[in-house]
Amino acid sequence: MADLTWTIIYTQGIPIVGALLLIYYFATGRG
Amino acid sequence: MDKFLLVLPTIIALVVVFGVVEYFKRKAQTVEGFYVANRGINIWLLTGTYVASWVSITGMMGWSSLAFRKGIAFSMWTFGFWGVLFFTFLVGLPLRRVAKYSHELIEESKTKVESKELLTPPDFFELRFPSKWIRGISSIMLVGGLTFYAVGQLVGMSLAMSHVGLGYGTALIICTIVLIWTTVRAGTPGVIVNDTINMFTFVFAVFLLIPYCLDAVGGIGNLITLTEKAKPGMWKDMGYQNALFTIISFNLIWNFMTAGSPHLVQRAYTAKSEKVFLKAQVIGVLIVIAWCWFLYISTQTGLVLLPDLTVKEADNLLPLIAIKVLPTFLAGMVLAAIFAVGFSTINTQISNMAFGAARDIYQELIRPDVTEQQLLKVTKWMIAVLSIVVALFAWTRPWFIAELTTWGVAFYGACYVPMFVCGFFWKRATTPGILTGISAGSVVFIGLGLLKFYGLYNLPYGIHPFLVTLPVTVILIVVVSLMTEQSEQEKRVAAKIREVIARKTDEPTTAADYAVPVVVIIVALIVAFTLYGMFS
Repeated sequence: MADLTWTIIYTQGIPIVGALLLIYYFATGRG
Repeated sequence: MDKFLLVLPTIIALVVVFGVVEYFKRKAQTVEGFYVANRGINIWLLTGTYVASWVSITGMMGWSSLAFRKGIAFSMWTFGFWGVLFFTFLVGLPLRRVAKYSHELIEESKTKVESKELLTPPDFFELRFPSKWIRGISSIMLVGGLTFYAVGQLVGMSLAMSHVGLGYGTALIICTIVLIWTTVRAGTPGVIVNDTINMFTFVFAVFLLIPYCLDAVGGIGNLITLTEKAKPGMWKDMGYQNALFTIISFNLIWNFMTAGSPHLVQRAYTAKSEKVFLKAQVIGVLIVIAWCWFLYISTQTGLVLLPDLTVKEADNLLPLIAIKVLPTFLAGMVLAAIFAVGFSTINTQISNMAFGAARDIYQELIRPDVTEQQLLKVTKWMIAVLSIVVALFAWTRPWFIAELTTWGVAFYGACYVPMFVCGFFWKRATTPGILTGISAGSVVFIGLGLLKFYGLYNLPYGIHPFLVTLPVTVILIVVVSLMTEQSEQEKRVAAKIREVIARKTDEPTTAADYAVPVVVIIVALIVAFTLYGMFS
């Protein structure tokens, strides 16, 4: 059967990390 | 009739492209307009142009073929996704801030036109590392590296058009004429609007394709059962017969390329504000990743539907699948989408190559007293000349095109990224350090490439020249910088750039600004659970 769990975590983790960085930049007045 | 229906969407796409440039040519009458769309691009257009420029023919056709041969996981691990975040926060944002305050930073300029603004990546390099050599070498890299990449796009677009019955040569000529006319006519404003329309075309085409493909093979479960037996690992995290080392190397090359590619860097100047830039990047990366998953799942059905497809023909996988499973008109939409993807990447690349040749080489190094109208004229001529050069290369259908593409872009990862990062964040980096680093890096990279091309020497274990060049460049920049002194001017500018980058933004954050990251997180999780559901 298929097992692409780590690939899914890696790819979907990227926009989530991006969004969290965005929140951090907005909150600290850096962006 | 069938052939007409197949070609109709591409004709519509062409008509739209021409219509857009006619409408937007009025915004490209000045250098600021033609090069950076008057720095006024909104969030939707910026997202569109970035998505359309990240995803090229290589991503659409080449990576479908890679997934077909090596498993979806291989394509997903090796696409330059995290490079987008690297670029956004460590290159694009600081560069925008330097551009915004460049009137405080540029001490003197010999040129007449737009002397106080940054228009191209080499503008920043020469500002931080004051030397004509730095501008010269980085501009030649820009034009040379992008040429190789653009050749790949043109070959792919012409191949896609040959599926509707045109000869390769005829298709190539048509694509070149469209490219020259539209880019000369409306510059960056036209390119950006066309990119956005093209993004909708190719995203829509893929979401249309997936239900038909899965239906044709009896669902995803059936597809996995049928193919996993013949090619074990095809649906696992490491893919089919891949070495971890290969995955890591490609992951590094393509992410560094995304982080430093000049045609993506230059777009940062066009955004209306920092907020718009940051939001567009994060929305864009979400779209690209979801799109890749759905495209490569669709084309994997080729493992069942096209059992006789050879490795050599695998680059044609996408059009073949589309023609096989979709009604004619919709298959035509996928062909139009391939055209859209190629066009929206090559138009950005050609315009940036022309900016490099006209602004960085002609104006800055040869004729500083050129007037605004003369500079615009030279830029337009450069678009035509460089398009023809790219077309002549494409005419020969070089068999090593995939290798050349990677080779062209890896250059930026190995040289541009260290130049940006040191320029922004390391006050002590000196001009001789950078000059030594990028010159030696270029020589090593080109030398290894030529040795490989002529079959004289290959790096052991299939190591890509990028993996040698990047450390060589970085070590030389650091060592030579520590051994040399900065001029007074360089010290002043370096300190000022650090100060400008560390400044707080003057656009206060509102509650509404948080909507974008929150929605992105929710959608990313929905896609994750959907995929997890499909594959378990």
